[in-house]
Amino acid sequence: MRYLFFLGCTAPTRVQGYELSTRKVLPALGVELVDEPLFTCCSPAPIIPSIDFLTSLAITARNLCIAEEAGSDIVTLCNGCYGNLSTAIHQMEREETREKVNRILAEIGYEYKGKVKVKHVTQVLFEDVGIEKIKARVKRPLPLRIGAYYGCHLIRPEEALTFDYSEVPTKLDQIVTALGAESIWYESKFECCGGTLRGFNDDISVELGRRKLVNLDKANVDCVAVTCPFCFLQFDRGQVAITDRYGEEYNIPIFTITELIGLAMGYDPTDLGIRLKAIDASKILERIFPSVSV
Amino acid sequence: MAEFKDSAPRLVKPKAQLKEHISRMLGGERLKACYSCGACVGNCPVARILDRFRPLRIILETKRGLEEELVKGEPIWDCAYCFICQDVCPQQVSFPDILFAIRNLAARKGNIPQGFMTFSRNVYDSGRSVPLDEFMLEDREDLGLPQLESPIPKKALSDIRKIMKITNFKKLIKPK
Repeated sequence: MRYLFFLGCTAPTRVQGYELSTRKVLPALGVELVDEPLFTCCSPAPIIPSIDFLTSLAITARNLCIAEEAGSDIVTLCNGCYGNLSTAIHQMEREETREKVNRILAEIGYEYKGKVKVKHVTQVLFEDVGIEKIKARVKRPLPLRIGAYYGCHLIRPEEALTFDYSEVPTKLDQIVTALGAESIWYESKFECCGGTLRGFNDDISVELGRRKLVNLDKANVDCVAVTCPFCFLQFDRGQVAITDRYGEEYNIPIFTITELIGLAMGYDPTDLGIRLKAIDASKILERIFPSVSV
Repeated sequence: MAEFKDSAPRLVKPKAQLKEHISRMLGGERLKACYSCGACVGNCPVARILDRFRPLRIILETKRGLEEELVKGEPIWDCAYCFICQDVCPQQVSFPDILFAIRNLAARKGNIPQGFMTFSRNVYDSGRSVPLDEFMLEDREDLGLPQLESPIPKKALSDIRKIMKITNFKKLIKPK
């Protein structure tokens, strides 16, 4: 299995633990990741399409064309990139739209043909690697109660995304369970974390994040598993903002799914970038590595 | 007999133009199919914490042609784009797409929030929404991650700048 690695803008600059752990875990599970320097920002909802929808579609389509020319499908780290690239593919299935976009792309020497597939890292783990293979590679089962969080753009809008059912998705929970952990149900599990409004409308964004953390706290989870750098920032750095604003402390460590898989496969936490969190995760590491002081 | 006093707000004469315009736009085709059930409001996480934001209200105002009020107002910028309204709509109306069309009208009238401006200029300048600084590059080196080019390769940057020029996007975001 070979994929062009669509890094996006946020993971490689602000959530490096996600990128680092993915670069360790996926190749070890037989997935080759190929870097592509010609990719640009995916032009995500809601920012660039809010100013001009067609511009956004053309920028996204250009990224798809690069993968078409390379003859490889794309894997993304970020839910935003995944949702945006997938939605563009869906929209350009309509000939009229594809022609409009291609008229712009012709000016820069590209043509979108509709030959490329886009998958999220979590999707590659579930579909290409598979639960059984992940289970077989677990060296240290995680003795943890984990709140799995899909985010929005991994599952919605369902008509454009291929990962899971949007009303009750289960695939991330299945991966979490394969690691020996317990996947805990919590209220508002499939609702927005507020990450898209982070930095644009902090009043709403912080409150949306807080409401989710309240529910995760009520469910008594040890930590949270996310699949998106924005959800990560919203829950991890967001807890600092919540303490500043409301004086509330939750102290719930946040992990990306690839970090958790890496830990279960026996990788050293340092090699996975686990220290790069605002909320200290050492109490979790102590439970996974009881004899080692970390 | 007491004089009847009508305190209800006067119905503004509908301007069909806006409705027709949005209906012709990508994603806006189903606007007229909305029968006001309110599932979009009931499921909206932002509506739960912010009274002024109601997806259905924006749809109704669009149908009534209240373009001025919509494009100048703040509510059109409150949506978190979580897409739950689209998935729960029994009529397959895509509120997020309809809102994009309204925001595009607002942008052409100069109403673009500062954060959106900065993000777009970053993409114009560097090809990335998060410009790389030397601390990020050092972090990546310390972590043993492959180094990133900043800005992105010349060909890629000139491609997206050209797209932004052709579509007049560049004029809207006024890069330096």
